[in-house]
Amino acid sequence: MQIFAKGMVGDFLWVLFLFICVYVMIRRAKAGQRIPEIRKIAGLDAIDEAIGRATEMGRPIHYSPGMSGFTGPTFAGLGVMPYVAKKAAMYDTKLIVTVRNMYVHTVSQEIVKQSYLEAGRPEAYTADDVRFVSDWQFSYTAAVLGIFQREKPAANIMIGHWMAESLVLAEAGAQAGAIQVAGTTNIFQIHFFVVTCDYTLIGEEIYAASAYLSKEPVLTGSVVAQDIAKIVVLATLVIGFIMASLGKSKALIDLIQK
Amino acid sequence: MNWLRKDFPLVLTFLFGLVVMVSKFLNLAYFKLPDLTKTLDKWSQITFAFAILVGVINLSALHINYIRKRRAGYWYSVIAMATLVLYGTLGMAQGPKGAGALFIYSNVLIPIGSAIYALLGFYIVSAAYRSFHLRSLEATVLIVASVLLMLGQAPIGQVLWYDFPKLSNWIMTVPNSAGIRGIQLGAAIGAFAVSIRILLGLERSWFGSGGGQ
Repeated sequence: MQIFAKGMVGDFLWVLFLFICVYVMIRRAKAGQRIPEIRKIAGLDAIDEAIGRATEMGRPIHYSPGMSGFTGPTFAGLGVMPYVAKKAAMYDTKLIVTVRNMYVHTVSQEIVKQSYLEAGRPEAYTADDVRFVSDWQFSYTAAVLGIFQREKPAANIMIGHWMAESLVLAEAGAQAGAIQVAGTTNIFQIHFFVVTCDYTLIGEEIYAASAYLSKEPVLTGSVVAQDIAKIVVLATLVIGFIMASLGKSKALIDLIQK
Repeated sequence: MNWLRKDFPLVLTFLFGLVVMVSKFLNLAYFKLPDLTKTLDKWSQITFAFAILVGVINLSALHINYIRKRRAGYWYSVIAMATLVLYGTLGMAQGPKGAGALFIYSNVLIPIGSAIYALLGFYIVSAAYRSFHLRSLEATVLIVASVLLMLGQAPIGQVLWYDFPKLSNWIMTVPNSAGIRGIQLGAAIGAFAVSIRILLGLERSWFGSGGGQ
């Protein structure tokens, strides 16, 4: 009887490799050793611009961590939320957070509350501004469209998992005159954001967001580990391509599927 | 109390993450371990039911506040609250598939959802109108690719040039697929790295800490 579940040896080795990469890079970061910097990401730099614009215009900021429950993109969206909330608290700009998922709503409330506290302005936090709107996709969409029309946010930041409502929301935001920063990993929605938003975070960029904004070396180290993993995957692809061309890819496929 | 707010969630996250990982990777029968993932799924459903209650309370508090303050458009809040009470009462009295709840579901919720979805068609046109300006190389590539794809899909394209569908198909299957796979690859590894950061307690921004200055 084997120790590993069927077909999971390759996956386990891969996870182990990623763990080692993350561990090594974090050790380097903690020891103050040099780690590569994250390249400039225009969409994340633009968040400051968006908050500044909302402050100057005296209009609110709308923020949404996406449509799904606790998935990777939602965590990415929640990772940017404290940065936006702190800035909003510091500049005394109203922040409206709309959420579709009940779990995410509870966490969003805590994030915004804690961020206002850390910014030294706990009294500015209003629980009503972190809104659970609806669990239904298009009920949520309709409600956010209403918020865009009534409250006219000057900045709209949407980072997370988005589905068919992405274009409706982003286009409504554009028509409301908001500067828009959006990001998703859903390849069927990225192009909608590209054509309607001022800045778009494409795919993995959203996962680098919290490290990029917080500038914490430990988090940056894990993003570097992520890039090393990507290089290994690309190298595996090239090796696989060559071996497949030579008709000898079976060994590699067996190893991955083992 | 600070420990309860800050460290306890991290410990729980690590433990439950570990349980799921062990259940996935190891042959549990070999180690004579129970599969706890199904139990965790049940726990998740139970907590979700409680989270619904929290959501309903938040929604109600918001709208009751609007109604009390007679805020502009407070009638919408009255309608929202009346619907919540009516649908909730019918659902609890007759069950979610009872005649009353089903009537509202089929004749109100579904048509409104479809109408909102249908807005997509209009928004695609307005977004395309604003975006399809020859103002940069990227925009030009976008327009050229879109026109070629449309000609490939529409009957008129085939009349103009017999091979438009082939060209359109090539754009979709070669450059488009290559781009999509690149994005998916990066996103998958990124999601994995985030999972590790959360499991190890490095990513703390999701409960309010961090975020920089």
